[in-house]
Amino acid sequence: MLKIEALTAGYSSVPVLHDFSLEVAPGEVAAIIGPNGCGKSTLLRCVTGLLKPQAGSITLEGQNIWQMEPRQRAQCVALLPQSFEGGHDLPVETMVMLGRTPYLPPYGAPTRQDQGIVDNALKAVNAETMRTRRVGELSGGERQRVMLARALAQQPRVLLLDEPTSHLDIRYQHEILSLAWQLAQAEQLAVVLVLHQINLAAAVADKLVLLAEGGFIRATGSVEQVITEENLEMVYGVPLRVVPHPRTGRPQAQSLWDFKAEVGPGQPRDPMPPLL
Amino acid sequence: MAVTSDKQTQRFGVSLRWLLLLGLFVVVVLLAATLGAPVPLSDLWASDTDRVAVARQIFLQLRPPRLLAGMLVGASLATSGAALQAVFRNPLAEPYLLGISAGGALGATAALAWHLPSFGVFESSSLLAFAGSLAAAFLVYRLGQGRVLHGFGSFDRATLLLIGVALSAFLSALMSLLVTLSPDAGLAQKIMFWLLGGLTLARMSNNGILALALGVGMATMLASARDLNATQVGDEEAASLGVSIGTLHRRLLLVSALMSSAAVATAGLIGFVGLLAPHLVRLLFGNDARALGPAAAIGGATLLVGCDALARSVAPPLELPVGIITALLGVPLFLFLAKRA
Repeated sequence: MLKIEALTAGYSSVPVLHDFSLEVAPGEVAAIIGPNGCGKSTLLRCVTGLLKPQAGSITLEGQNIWQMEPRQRAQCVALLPQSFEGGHDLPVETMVMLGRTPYLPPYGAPTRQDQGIVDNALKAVNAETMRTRRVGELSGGERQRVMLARALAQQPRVLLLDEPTSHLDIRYQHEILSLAWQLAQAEQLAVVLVLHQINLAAAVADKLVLLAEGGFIRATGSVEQVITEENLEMVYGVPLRVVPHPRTGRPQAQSLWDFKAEVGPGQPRDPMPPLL
Repeated sequence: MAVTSDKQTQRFGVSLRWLLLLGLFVVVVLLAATLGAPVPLSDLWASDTDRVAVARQIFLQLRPPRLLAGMLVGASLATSGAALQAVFRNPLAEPYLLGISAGGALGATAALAWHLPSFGVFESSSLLAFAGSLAAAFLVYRLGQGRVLHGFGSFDRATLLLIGVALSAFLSALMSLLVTLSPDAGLAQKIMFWLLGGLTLARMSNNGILALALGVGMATMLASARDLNATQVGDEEAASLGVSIGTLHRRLLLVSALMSSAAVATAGLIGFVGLLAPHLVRLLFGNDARALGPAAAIGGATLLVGCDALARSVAPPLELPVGIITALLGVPLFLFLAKRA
């Protein structure tokens, strides 16, 4: 069980995330949504151990992750980062083997067991045929699958995905999210997703947190509790209506923004009258 | 299975490359040990005892320390360069980056200008060059510390590089001041010799220190291979994989400074070996840190021993400073590599 309690974090004395709490059980998928700059990525950086929280605690099975050694933490928490800084020249297999970093001895020679774990991770994301290709040559969707395989090779208990669907077309968006959900079930991972697309979050998550500008929680709980017209309009400042999905019945948000109307840039106008 | 046979081919290729590098090293060392002497090697087995004595002195007493110094200096500079290129994730990083050249030059100049006595088996210029290099590196590191906002580790790469450049200019100015104010007219020439670098002053005592520095440096490099490989994907991702970036960087900066300072103390400022050798062996072994350290060391040793042999034999009996050869050969090679990448 991943337990985040009253977390406050930021880069200077002014926090960008305030009093954030969330519990994610093994096998559960939690999604964090909210506008740009509301502290979503900051939250993931705290859980990964990259940014020290200013207040509050993050525990995994009762153990404070900030009291763990970096290697021990990397054996429990894996992050699928939002963007790539380097490693474009690496073959896919080498990139996935980097997921074994927290387990390898200092010289870094992998054992047969490590190789087996990497093979299984590649199989789990259906990327076995990519092994020898270079990461820089992959399409956006393929690369996300490889990065997911690397995270799996860490054999974590918590999997964090930072906007895994950005830069992907709709098919790969669905593919990566269903992979994340299936892995949460199969490996009993506690998954935390940061997403921009409200409807994808509503479709895949077991629980949702809606953050408002300034890093305050606007709503938290089940999908139905969070995805309401009132909550979304308040946070995003866009006229919306929420309807049940025709197949699953889960709430989905539709924009009522009038693109043809003459309004100032970024100025939402009053919601349109109901269509029917 | 296809995967296994792929792996076997790969492993075979890697073994072949090691064999190539080691073979080149052995050939160059053997050539350097035997060629270009005023008397032929066969004199060692001559019937004339005088000729045997001369040949023995050249091949068994004069050459071995110098050959060994060439290997150790080349290996130390190359390993230091490989470590710094990995830390700064910058292909232009080289051993003299942290003010080590200017600090060493100032130290040697001070020792020569003030005619400081030697200390035991060590020349005062070597000792002061060593101390000056280490002090400069330490100063650059301290000045560059604590400038990290969003990043990891304890310094900002660009800031540290800038401070290295600035401090080098400052120390060079101090050195010029010492030379200008010195009543010793021959000082400028002695310094010149030192600045161009050379192995003529190689001593077994210095070689001992060099071997120690190289041993510590190589062990550290090998023990950091896992973490260095992870940092290829960026500091933040490496940190999320459990790498302690700050510790890794401090450790590698320290041993790089140690290795290049020991090299500078023995042979002066030999340029380009530390920059070039890691790039050359990357052509063979790629970026894998597990291979890069040892391969760079062997490559650097081969390069410097080869250049030193050329320096001795290009225009006998005149001996060119080896730094001239390394730059004359190194720069075109480097330009070729830079264009290729």
